[in-house]
Amino acid sequence: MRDSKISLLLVISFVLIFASFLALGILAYKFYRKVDKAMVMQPVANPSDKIRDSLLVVYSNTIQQLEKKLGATYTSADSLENSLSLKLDEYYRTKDELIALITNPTSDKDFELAKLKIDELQSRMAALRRTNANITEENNKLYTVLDEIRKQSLTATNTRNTNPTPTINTPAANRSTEPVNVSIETDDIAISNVVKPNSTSITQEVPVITTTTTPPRQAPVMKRYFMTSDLNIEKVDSRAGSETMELIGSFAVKNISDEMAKGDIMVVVTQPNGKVLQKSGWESGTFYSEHGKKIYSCKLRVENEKGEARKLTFSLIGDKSLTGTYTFQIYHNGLLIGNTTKRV
Amino acid sequence: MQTSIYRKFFACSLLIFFVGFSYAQNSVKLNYKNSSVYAGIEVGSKGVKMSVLELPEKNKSQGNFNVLKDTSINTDFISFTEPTFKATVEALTALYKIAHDRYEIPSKFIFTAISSGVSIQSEKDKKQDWLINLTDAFRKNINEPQREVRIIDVTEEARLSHLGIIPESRRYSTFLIDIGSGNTKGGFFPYNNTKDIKLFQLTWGTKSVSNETNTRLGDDQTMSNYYRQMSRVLAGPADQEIVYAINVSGAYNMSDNIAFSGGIAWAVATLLFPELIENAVVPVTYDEVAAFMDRIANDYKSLQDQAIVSSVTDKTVDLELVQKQAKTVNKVFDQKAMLAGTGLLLKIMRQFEGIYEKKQFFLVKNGQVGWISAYVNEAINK
Repeated sequence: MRDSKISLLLVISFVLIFASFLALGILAYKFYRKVDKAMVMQPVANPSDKIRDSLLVVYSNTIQQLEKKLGATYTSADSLENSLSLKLDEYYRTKDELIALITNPTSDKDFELAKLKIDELQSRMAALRRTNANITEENNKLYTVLDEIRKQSLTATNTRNTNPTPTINTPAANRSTEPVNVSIETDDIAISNVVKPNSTSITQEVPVITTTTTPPRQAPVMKRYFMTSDLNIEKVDSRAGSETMELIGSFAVKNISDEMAKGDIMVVVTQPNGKVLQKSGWESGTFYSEHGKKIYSCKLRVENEKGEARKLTFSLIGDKSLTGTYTFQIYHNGLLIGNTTKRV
Repeated sequence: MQTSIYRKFFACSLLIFFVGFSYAQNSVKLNYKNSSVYAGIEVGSKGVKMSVLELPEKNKSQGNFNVLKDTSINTDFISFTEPTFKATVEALTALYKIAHDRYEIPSKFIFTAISSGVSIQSEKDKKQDWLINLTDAFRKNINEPQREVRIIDVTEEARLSHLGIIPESRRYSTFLIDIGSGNTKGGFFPYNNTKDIKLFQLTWGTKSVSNETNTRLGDDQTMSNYYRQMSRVLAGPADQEIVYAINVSGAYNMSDNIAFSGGIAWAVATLLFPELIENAVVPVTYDEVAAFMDRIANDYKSLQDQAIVSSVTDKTVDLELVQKQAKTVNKVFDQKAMLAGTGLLLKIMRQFEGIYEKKQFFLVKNGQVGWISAYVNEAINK
């Protein structure tokens, strides 16, 4: 009984193996036929096509020539950098010649030549000064344009968020007529230079453009009231076995305006993975900065008299496993007023 | 010999299959290292709702919880008819079995309750016996004669919602307002204890504002007319009630924070702050909500899921989640419903927007599970 079962299983196995070979054979045959057919159907070049495509050859050649010309024009194009390096070369060459003449004079003619070289050197220096002045002027123009663009983009962003096409009068639009209306404290818009990266304190207020205009609702009032200093970050390990760590930050905030100032200081802590470390849903949120909409880690309230400095502290709980560089940024009125980094 | 090999092979395969299957069924993503999973099943006005929550072992009382599953079955129990009764019993039993069998939550960690809305309606219709019958039928179905199905009254629901949603650090400085479809309720703790809550109630909700507006539209079904009529509803019949209720509550003087929950709070938070999609709570200002209302009225296209996704510049944000949530919001609320809800939200916010003292507003996204989490908390700490 048992033998007959084994034999039956063996037969079934052989049948299955045979069927597999058969299927493989069919597949191989089909593949061979397909390749053969593809080779047969290879199109033969038509002589008329050759004639027709001759125009294409001419066109391609012309394009190639044009590209070569353009490439040469681009590489030999004049630029401020080339001009400057040429002038510098000339200046150094003249200077070397002059030194050689003065150190080893052979005749009076050499002194006359030296005098000529000095004149030449002076003229070259004047040329360098002019180039430098041009570069500075160009830079200033570019910065002005850049600031204008930035200002326009900020205004556009905020206008879009407030009401671009007031076809329906909403409370937002009507609120100025309502009895409870909150006016904004300042009308000044000052776009200041951005703080240098990796600096631990920011001390200068550099107003570049000042204009009197009523900012749109939600728009960050771009006036710098505060400056920060002594930004210090400490990492405190939680109890043993815990997977969290505490980041404690402290910094001094000084009122640099001519009046008493109060407002919110936004702390933005960016983790090595690029995500903003948030204290909690209740403490964190979004705000509009000079660099667009940002998430803040926590918000600190500050109220300082004119010239008064106060120390503020914050603490955030982070993931201990997220090692790397943490970036700390301090904002007020949408302006970056302090930043630093800490390797954890 | 060979037969035993076959049997062993077959048994192993079966075991591997079932282990894999059951693992797939119970694979819920836990947020906390040391936590327990609980289920709260609530019979509400619209249907039966189940929330599976993860509560960390520590800080249980600080409103920290993770919603693992949130599901509901619409049964319309408050119409009090035989078919809806039967459907409700079946839904209640089915959800209990899912929690118990599929998620393997022990019976003592599954809490069942009947919400205040059902209780109020049953009193109005003199159908309190339907609640008793429902409880009895459910106990019989799950074979647990001692099972407690608590009927929560409106004050208790507001108290539990506050405890479940608001963190302890803001417990006595926050006024919680739940804007529902048919009404608005909430409250705050005025006496530094969590037993006495000052209740706040309005008969206006998202749907009631929308319904009242629709009755005034006449032949002009345009959006501008809808907006105009909605403003009249909010300035007319709703205005007196809202202003009076807030003044009487005394919340203005007692609260620094005003937190809004309910469907419209979730919708506004999702569309207004896609960057904070993973946050259960988002801070918001009156101006931001006012600007959002402008967008609903004049630039509704910018609130569609694709537009919301493209507005996000932060590369670390989960855009897939943003799109999914924005899509759901737009499915739940059409333009008119969203306008009505935001109008009501703004109207209430307006009462707290003073010249000298500004309140901090918050939008709570998962408010619907708040009271269940607090109920679970209180039950396990008893």
